[in-house]
Amino acid sequence: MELNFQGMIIMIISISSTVFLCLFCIAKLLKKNDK
Amino acid sequence: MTNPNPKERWASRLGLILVVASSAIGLGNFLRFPGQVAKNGGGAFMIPYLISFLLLGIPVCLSEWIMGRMGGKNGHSSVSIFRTLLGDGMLAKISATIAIIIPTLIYVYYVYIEAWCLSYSIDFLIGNIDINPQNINPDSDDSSAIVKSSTEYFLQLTGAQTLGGALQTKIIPYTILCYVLNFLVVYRGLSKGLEKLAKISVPIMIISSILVLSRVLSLKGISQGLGFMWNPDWSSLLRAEVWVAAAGQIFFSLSVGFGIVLIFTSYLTEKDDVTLSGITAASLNEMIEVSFGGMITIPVGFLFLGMSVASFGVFGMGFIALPSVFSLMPAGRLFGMVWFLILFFAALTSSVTMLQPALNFLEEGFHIKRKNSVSILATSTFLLTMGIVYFNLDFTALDVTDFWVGTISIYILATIQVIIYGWKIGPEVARLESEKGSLLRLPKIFDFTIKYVTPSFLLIIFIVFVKQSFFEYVNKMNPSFMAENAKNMGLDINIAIDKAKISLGVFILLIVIFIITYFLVNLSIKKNMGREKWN
Repeated sequence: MELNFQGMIIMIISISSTVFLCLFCIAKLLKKNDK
Repeated sequence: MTNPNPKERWASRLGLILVVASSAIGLGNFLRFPGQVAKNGGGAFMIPYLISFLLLGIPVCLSEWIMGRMGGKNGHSSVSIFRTLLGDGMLAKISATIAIIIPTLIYVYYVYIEAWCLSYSIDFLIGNIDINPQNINPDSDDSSAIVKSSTEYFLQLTGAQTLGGALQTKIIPYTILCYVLNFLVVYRGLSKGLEKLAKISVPIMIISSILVLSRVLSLKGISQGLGFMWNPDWSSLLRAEVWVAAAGQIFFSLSVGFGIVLIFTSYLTEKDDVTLSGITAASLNEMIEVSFGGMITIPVGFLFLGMSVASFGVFGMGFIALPSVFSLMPAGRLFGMVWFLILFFAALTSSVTMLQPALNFLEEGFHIKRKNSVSILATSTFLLTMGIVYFNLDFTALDVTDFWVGTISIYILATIQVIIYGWKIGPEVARLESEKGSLLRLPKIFDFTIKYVTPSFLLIIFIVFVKQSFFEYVNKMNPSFMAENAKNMGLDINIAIDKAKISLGVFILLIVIFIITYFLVNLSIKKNMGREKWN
């Protein structure tokens, strides 16, 4: 069962969205802390 | 109320976020999530999962952060928090009782599982675990012999084959060691204990997970494992149980309804942010769950063990399937050691937080000093853990406690919390409260969601879950039913009767613990009468 195109897209979107959300929140927190 | 530890507070906002996130990051992220994805439509599962995160996970999380800060005006125990939120009625006392019992009793069995992780990690390190003595090659040989050997190792370690069997295994010293570690951390307090541990453990978990993930992705043929995990089966979205499974995974993964976040956020003041911090803690948990949980366990398990890997439960996946995989893969000993170290830290950072509600209750309600409260809690929980260990025949005591406390009770507490937020306090008042010190304003749709959508979502999951499992667990307490069932299935009738007696005994003990705790909650209120005015 090779990873197909749809599976790859879902995998990439799922991982990148959770990583992005986490880093975005941390960056925003740190930015507000500086102010 | 007088706080015997008035100087207790968080050293930094990031520290609190890491503590809350690491409390939620547990075995479920690495072992339960991938199994749920593989069983429920692969990549298609991520759609109900994402919707559940938005409609259930985020609202319940934020309600806990906001209400914790609101309830913390008069103290930091569950009793003070619920009395501040609900007044001095019976519902406040019952809610406080549940909020003390849930994390404490989950700790009682969770620390035992934590000891398994530590034991596996050390066994891999010193080469004490050999479940592939014949050097079976997964490409050419049948790996079922390895799985059988791994199962025997696991059952021997946990003593699950006989009543009291675990007391004679090496798991007891490991359990004691975990107890010492947990209580040392909580003894040191919030900033020097819990916060420090989270600041060390979370980076260790992330770096170690990247190490294991790099190894997994470099394995030949891993694309097949990733395909098994992520290739979507869109037809699964038409099955109701897939949606319930996704909501359940979000619910358990974020550790909402445990009563822990309420305690931690009660130390915040109106100058502190709760909205962005709450979402950050939830998103850190999600990142680890999806990025590491979704990429390691099932793909590598499928590569070595085939389709059968999805049939293992959480324990089977963690302590039978993966040790088998590590015994088959090159440099498996090293990666086995690192992997179980990750699980151990995930468990430790969760278990230490479970002790805080009971400690705060003892210290604030009865003016007991930290040294004494730690001694009382350590002794009482250790006796209960030994009960779980002794009655570990086929994991019965653990499983039954997990069902009544770790599942049913947390649904009840989460529902109480959401109803307090949406209907007692009101979303508008709570919104104004959340905006104090806020770094992120909640959208208006949040009010409608938490008032109507989230409770309905919780109710649907609860009804489906009760339909699926409630009567099964009620029947488990009936010796004649279990004996008949065992007879029909050709199993040992005496063992079935023993298991039914254990299940019934555990259930009765849980009710007794609830009554005693409720009595203590009342006593603590009387003891502090007149010291504080409640809303």
